[in-house]
Amino acid sequence: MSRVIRLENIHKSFGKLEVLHGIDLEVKEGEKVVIIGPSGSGKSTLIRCINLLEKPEQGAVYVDQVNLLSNTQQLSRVRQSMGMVFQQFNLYPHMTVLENLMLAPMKLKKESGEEAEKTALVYLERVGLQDKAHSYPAQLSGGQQQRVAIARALTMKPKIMLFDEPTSALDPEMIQEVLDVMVALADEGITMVVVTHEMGFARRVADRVVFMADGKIIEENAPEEFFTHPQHERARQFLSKIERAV
Amino acid sequence: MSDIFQVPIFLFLLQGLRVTLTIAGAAILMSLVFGTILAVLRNHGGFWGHLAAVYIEAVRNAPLLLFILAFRFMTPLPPVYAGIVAMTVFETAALAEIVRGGLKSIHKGQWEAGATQGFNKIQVLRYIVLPQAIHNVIPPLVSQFTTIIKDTSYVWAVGIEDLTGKGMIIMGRYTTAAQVFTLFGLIAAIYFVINYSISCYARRRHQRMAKAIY
Ligand SMILES: Nc1ncnc2c1ncn2[C@@H]1O[C@H](COP(=O)(O)OP(=O)(O)O)[C@@H](O)[C@H]1O
Ligand SMILES: [Mg+2]
Repeated sequence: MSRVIRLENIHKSFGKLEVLHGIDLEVKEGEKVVIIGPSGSGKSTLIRCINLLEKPEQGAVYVDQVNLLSNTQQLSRVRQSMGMVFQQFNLYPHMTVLENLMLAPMKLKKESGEEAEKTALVYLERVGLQDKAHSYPAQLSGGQQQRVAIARALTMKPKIMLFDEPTSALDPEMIQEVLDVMVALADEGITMVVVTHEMGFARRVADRVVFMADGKIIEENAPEEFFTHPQHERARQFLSKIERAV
Repeated sequence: MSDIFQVPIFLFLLQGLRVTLTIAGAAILMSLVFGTILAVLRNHGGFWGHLAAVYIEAVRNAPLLLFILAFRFMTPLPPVYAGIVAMTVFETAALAEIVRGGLKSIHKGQWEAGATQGFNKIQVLRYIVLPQAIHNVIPPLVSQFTTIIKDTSYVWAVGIEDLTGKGMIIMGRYTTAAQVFTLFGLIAAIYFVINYSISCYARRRHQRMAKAIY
């Protein structure tokens, strides 16, 4: 299987503070990778390097064999093939749900309004929100907003989906509805990179768990292996903490 | 006093009102466009951002009348055009600062969501950030529009017969304090009706939209 994402020796600083100290990560086509680790360890920064929301000072980012740092004219095209879902949803509040889903297909892929609307409704139905097509984001619950955000990303028919703690801003009773959508998506064979602390989701979906601490990848393993026999002390400490919290 | 409330005088003032609204309307439209461009540049920073900042600060701290006089007497433009250009140059700076406030009110996540979808910066601005930014500053924007309509009266200084100008011409024919007072009151009332209608209309539309999206 081909590697659709390849990060090589990524170094990223904010001012004087280096937060990623040389990260290597490969993701194969169709693979589901879950990234976990303590708060502040650089998980968000890392996943944001994949679509260059953060620009590393050193290293290389390959997506679909394209070196994004040296082929900036291809960045927009590559980003269109890679959806991202944020902790804070980031829906466009001045547009209805339907308009949120239609914007990129119409403006970037030049789809007709009719075509874009048809696609949008298909994906809204998949996340169970076709009846909210004409609502504004502010009229939806957090869980519904996040499902719309996922549908919005899917309307561009991406090969890769990136999720940065998609359930962390949600009330507990809404977490499952979002996870259900993500599990269904995973079953379709799309490539996924997910930052999350939802261990159930990781066990159910992940091919590989990547554990980060202090801007480094400390350990990578299959979820069962990782959760039952973590190799490093940092990982053991982290797991014991979140297990106590659950 | 009743001699002021005559049809010919009304018509004469309405001619002036047309000039006022032409100059103010053109200045509002153009300074909104240029002001938005300057706001975006200043918000973005860099060389052009600094240049925009210098323009905004220089213009905002000079009197409007100076621009009206300068464009009337230092350019070959016909008077009304000179007035429009002068007001545009001046109000661009004011509107730029208001729009910039709107831009700053937009959360970074909106830029990121757009960029993530594959939009370039201009597209993110056009489809995602600017519509929200402008919406957020509609009250101060509209307040500035009414200021522009009122400040158009400065063009009387270079002989343009706007609403105030026409009023001054009529004034020449009246002598008693009561007559002058009535005339001033009438002109003020016309400005009030125009500006108050604009404010009310804008507030209603803004609230209706705000109810939907926030
Ligand atoms: N835009 C930024 N400016 C400055 N520091 C940042 C910025 N983003 C993240 N950081 C810092 O980088 C470190 C890693 O942050 P982050 O990647 O968000 O970690 P995580 O997602 O694992 O919680 C933290 O110390 C954080 O404070
Ligand atoms: Mg994070």
